[in-house]
Amino acid sequence: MTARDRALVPVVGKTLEALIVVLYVASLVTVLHGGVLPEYRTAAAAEVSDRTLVTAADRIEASIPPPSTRVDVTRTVDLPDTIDRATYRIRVVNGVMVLDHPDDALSGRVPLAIPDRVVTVSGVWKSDEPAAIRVRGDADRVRVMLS
Amino acid sequence: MRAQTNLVALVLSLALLTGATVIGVTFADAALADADRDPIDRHVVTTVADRLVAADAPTTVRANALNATAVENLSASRIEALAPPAEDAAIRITLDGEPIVARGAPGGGATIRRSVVVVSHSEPVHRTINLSRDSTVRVPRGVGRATVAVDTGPNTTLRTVHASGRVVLYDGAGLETNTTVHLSRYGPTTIRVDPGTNATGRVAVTYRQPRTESRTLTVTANA
Repeated sequence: MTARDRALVPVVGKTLEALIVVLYVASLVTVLHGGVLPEYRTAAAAEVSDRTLVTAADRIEASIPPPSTRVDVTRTVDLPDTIDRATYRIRVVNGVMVLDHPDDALSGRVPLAIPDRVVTVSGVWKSDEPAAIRVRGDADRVRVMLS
Repeated sequence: MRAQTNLVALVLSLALLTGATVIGVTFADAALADADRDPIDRHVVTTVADRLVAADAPTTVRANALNATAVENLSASRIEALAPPAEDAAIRITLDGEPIVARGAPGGGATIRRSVVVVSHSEPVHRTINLSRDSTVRVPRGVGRATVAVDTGPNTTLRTVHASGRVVLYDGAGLETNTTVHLSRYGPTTIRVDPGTNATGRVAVTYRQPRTESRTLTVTANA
């Protein structure tokens, strides 16, 4: 071994170390961002979507008072602004509450349990706007508006 | 080779780091699995229980008071009509453990318990006021309505029927009727008539005595 070769040894060693660290970090980032993180994000988003839908349905069901001659109820509803970084809409079609999300896997529907007095449920909630329930009517006919 | 001892230390530390990452991801997995509840099941049981005991439901006489006859006639399809979220769900409803409605096996689903009273009505009780002898009859508390049949004899005019001092029936020309009157459920009621002297005939009062029992309503569902 010449003196020149011996001087090269630490250089090669350090380069090797740096290379291993870079490779390690790259593989870790690939594994986490390629598989684990998106999976968690979807699982959490599906859970949030389910809960949002059920909470909204509960709020509507709870806002309809027992029969009385005049009904005038306004309630605000807290909805998450986004699910999986996308805004969504909630509306009611034929007594079924529907959550419209750009991702079909995160959309959902749940039937509402409301008395027969409720003749219509109209309107739509957009997740990035304040949401409120308005219930108007009398003893026989009650209308519910989402706004 | 002396210079490469650094490399060994590096590999060892990277292995440790990998181990820590794996443990972290495992914990995150467990936390996510723990948080995976089924809000749909919970929604089904709460709406079914809420609608069953609601004041305006066909199964109740008032809020949280179930009608025994209506409860006996309950079926899965009636539950669905009452609470649409129960569609296609395995559901079991019991009163103090006694099954009322069962469809499928909702093991592992959500369960909710409600304290309710079950109201059943006795056979009709007939009480008669003989106008020539007495003028009052006492109705026990809890009775919300009674049928009053006035059948006066000749030469007798009965104009007013009082229930605890309140006028419930009046006809200036003389009563001859068979009507349902509403009474206060919160205390005993005295039904009084003023036949005057030498009156004949009878006033029949018919009512059903309600019986209330405190029970636990349990709803289990798995959507």
